[in-house]
Amino acid sequence: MAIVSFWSNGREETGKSSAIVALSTLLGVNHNYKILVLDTKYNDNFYQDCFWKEDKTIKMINSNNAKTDIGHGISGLSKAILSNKTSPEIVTNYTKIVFKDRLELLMDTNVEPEEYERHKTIFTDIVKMANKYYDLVFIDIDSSLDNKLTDSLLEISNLVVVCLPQKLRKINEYLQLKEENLVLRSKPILPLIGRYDKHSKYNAKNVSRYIKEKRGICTIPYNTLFFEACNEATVADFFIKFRKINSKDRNAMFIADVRQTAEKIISRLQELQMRM
Amino acid sequence: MNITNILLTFVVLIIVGVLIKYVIEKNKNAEVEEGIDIDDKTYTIEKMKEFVKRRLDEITKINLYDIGLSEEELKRRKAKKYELKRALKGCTYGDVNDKKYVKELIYDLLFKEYGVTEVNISKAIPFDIPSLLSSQDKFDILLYAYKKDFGYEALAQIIKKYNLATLKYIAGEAKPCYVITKEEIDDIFDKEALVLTFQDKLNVVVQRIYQHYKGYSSIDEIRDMNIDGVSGRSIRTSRKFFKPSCTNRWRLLRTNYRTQSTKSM
Repeated sequence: MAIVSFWSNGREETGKSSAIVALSTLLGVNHNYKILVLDTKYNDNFYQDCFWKEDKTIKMINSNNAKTDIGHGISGLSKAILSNKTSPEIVTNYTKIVFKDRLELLMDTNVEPEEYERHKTIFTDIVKMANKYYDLVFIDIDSSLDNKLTDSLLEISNLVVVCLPQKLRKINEYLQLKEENLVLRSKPILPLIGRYDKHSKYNAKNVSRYIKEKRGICTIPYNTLFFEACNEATVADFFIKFRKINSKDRNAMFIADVRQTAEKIISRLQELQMRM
Repeated sequence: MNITNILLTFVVLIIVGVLIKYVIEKNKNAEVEEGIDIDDKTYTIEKMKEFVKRRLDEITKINLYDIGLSEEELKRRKAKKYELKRALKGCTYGDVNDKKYVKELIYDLLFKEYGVTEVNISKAIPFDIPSLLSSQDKFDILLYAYKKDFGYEALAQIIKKYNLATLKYIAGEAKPCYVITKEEIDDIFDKEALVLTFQDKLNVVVQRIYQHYKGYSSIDEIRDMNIDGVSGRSIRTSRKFFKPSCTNRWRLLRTNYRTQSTKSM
C-alpha cells in the first residue's frame, strides 16, 4: 500500500530506529495493517535486541536449523531476487515475525561486508516487491548509505519521515538540504523529533515555527521504560501492557505521542492516496 | 525370583533408561553436520562438488516435521524448500534464472560452510600461477570477466575483439576451418592480464562445480550466450544442434564428452 522512509541527515543520534520500533509495534498492536520493517544497516542488532532474546539453547537450535535452511533475511531474499524470482509472496518467507500477519522484520545480523555491498544494491527491488504484499513498508535508511542509494530509496517512498535531533546546527543543515536536494523537495515530508525532551528550548512548537512547518512536528519522547524494553527484547510486551493506559501514568505521554505520530502517518498516507 | 534379582533388574532398567535419555539428549543437541576434515584434497573441485551435492541433498531431503519448527516457520521453510527443489529441477533444463539461484546457493555453501578462502581457492583452480592453468580454466576466466561487462554478449565480444571468426588451417587438416584453438585462448588470456578478486575466483569455481553437477558441462556457459546454438557431433550419434532457447536434455549432451564440439554463431 505505502512505503514510508525514515531518514536522518548525517550520523547524529536521532532515535530513528527506536522511533520505527515504537511506531511499527504500536500499529501492529492497535491496527490491522500488515507491516514490514526493512533495516538497511550493516549487521545491526538493534531490532534483534528489541524483540528477541539471545538465549543459548535457542541460538544452538537456530544454528542447527539454519544448516537445513537455504538462507534467511536480506541475504536469503537477495539470492531469490538476483535470480529473478520476483513474486511478492516470497518476501515473507525470509522475514522474522513479531506479530503474525501484522508485523515482520527483514534484516541481516551476520553477513560479510562484501555480501552486504552486493545486497544493498537491490534494496529498492526488495521494497518495491514488498510493497505489493504488505500494507505498510517502513525503511530504516542507514546514514552511511551512499547518496545515490539513499535517493533511490527516498524516490520510491510515499512519505519521508525526517528524523531530527534537538540541535540548532542539525536543524539548519536539514533546512539547507531540503532546499538543495531535489528528491527531498519533491516528496511529502513529515518531520519527527526522536528522543524528545519537551523542556528543551528546541521543543516541537518552536522547531515547527523555525522550519515553517504548518502541520506541526511529530515527536517520540525519551522514555526510560521503553528504552529498557528495547534492550531486554520486551518492546512487544511493553505496548501490549500499555494498550489501555491511565492518563496519570508516567508513560502516558510517551504512548500518546507515539499514537499521535502513528495516526499522523496514516492520515498523511490516506490524504496522499486520495490525491492520486 | 528373590528380592536381589528384582532389585538388580530395577537397577539395570534405570541404567538403560538413563543411557537412552543421554543418547537422545546428545543427538538432540548435536549439530546436523560435523566439521570438515581438511587435507590436501579438501579444496579440489571434486571434493567441493561432493560437498555441494551432499548439502543440497540434505537441504532438499530433510523432513521438516522432525526438527520441531513452529507452524509459521514450517510453512516458510516448506515454501523455500519447494523453491529450491523447483530450481534444481529447472536448471537441468537450462533455465537461466534457476541456474543463477543454484549458483548463488553453491557460492554461499562454499564460502560460509566449506571455508573457501583467498588462499585455498588456488587448490581448485591455480589462479595465482597462470602457467598451471589449463586452456579450459583460461577460457572460463575470460568468459566470466567478459560476462561481467557484456552479459550474454561476452562470447561474441571475445570473438569480435580478437577476430576469431576467420578460416584457419590446422595441422593435420587438409581444408581450412572455423576453429578457436587452445593457443589462441592462451594468447588472449596473456593479453588480457586479468586481475581477479576473491569473489571473481569463487564465481569461476562455482561455475565449474555447477556445470558438472547440474549444468551442461563444458558448453554450459557458451549455451547461455546470445548465439544461434551449440552443435555437437559424435561417432555414435548423428549431428545435434542445441539452441539456447530450447529445452535440451542432459542425456543428449552426454555424448559431448567424447565429441568435438563446434560453436556456430
